[in-house]
Amino acid sequence: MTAQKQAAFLEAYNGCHDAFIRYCSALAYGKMDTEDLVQDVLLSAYTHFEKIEKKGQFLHYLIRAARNRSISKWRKAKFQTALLEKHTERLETQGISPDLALDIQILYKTMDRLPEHQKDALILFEITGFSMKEIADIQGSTEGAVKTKISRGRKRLRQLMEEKPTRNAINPIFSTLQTVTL
Amino acid sequence: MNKEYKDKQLFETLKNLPPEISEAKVQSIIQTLPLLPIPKTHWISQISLNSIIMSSTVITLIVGTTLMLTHGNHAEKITSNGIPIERTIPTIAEEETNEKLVETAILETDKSEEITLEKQFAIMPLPEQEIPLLADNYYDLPELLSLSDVTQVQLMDTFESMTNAPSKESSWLSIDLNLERCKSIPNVSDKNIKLLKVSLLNKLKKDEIIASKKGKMMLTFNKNGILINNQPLENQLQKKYLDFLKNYNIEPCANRVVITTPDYIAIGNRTKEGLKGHIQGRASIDDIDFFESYGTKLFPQKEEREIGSFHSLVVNGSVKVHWSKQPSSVVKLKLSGIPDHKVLTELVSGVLAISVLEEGLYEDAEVVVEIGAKKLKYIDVGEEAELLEIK
Repeated sequence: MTAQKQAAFLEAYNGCHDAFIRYCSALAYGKMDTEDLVQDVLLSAYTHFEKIEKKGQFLHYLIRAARNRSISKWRKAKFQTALLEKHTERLETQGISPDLALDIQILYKTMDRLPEHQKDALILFEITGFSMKEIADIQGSTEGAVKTKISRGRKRLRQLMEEKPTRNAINPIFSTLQTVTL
Repeated sequence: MNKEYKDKQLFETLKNLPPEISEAKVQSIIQTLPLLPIPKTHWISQISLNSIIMSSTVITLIVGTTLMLTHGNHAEKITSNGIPIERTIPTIAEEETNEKLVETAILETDKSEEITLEKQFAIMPLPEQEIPLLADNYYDLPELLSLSDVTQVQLMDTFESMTNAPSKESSWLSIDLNLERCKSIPNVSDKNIKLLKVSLLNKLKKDEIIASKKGKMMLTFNKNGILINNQPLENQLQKKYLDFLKNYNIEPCANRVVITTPDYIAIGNRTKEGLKGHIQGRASIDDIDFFESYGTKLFPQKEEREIGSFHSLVVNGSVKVHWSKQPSSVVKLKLSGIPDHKVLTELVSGVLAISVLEEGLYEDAEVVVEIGAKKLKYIDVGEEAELLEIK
């Protein structure tokens, strides 16, 4: 029985690997060890494997599970220097120049300041490589809404990256004031 | 380096990186999964400060709402024909001398008296036609009544004798409504408009005039009285609903209409330009057909819509929306980056909804809303509706 389940689980996992790991890496960047996250999600998925109705959409299940875990456990967690260094070193071992690795670190840190739904849509689209339709399926949303999230996410990301460090602290206050005014 | 280009380059780099964990390693993890203990969580570990706070908030809200509603029901128990006393008072105060007498009588009744009265009814239930404190035609009360001189039961009897209130079966007086007299838009406050929707639908459902409170309901008038979804109300109910609507300053008029859907309530007059009045809630584009099928034009035809000339908005404490095709000097909308024919705007109860009709990503689109000299906001528009609240 266990062997059968394991075989079925492995079969379902086939084809999910690249996107799933890429998504977990992006989620875990600087906050958690990617392998820990992957193992947690896989254990949870394995435990509930019989209950998963659409085995064809196993990847979507894994993505949702990873996201839920990130939200429940460490969405608010701050970046840990040791983990940041570890992830930067890993990038460098993959042939990324130190400058580019630093830019990627800044990118992740900036993305962390985006609203959760925009950040998630951007990771799924830009890093994991899902199509708009797939993201809509994963998020239980519409394709149009996903397009909007990505569009706004990109724009906001650019704004945040262009900001001078001194403005970062007061920017949320400006945003709040703008909202209140309207 | 151009920032936009830099973002794209970084994303592209991340996308092309090999996965951090190899497939073989994941497979080995999967091999070990059956050996790992299934995580079991004790129920105590599920309790967190968050869940306690959330549960307490929900319980408080439910208890508060229940108490409030119970209080509301109490008030309704001692009313005549479903007209709560607290709502009756201001209406009566506006009437002529004889109505003032009734107001005096009611105002002199303190809360303890009301409770006593209810208790007396509970002990000695009276025949149905004797229960109302105020008879149906209380507007015609001829003489002053002092509550201090009479007991509650006497009071009731006195009211009946003064008004010569007929029994319910014979209380119907043929209604000949002067439908031309009212041109002004009913003045209903934001608070009352919500109350009106809930109360009206409750009454209609209770009287089995509508099958469901969630359906669309349109109340109109003709010379014979009130129509609900174009069906005349029974004679026995006409007076009750006319009085009820009067409490909300809604007088019968030929062009007057009250429309409710689960999403909104609209009260106003049908005019050549469209529906003028109040709308609270969100009206969706799908409802255009509904309005037009009843001969009104809440929204102009999509193809006739001109950007920049849309419904005028008057903000004076409560938001009033006047539907018109005329350009407004009060509110201006400027759109750029999206072809005009692909945009539909709606303005509902102070909320401006801008919908792009054709799918596409309009990243450079910009919307500017001006109220008078004040420029309010610019927003980027995706392919779906964007909401901008004006308060």
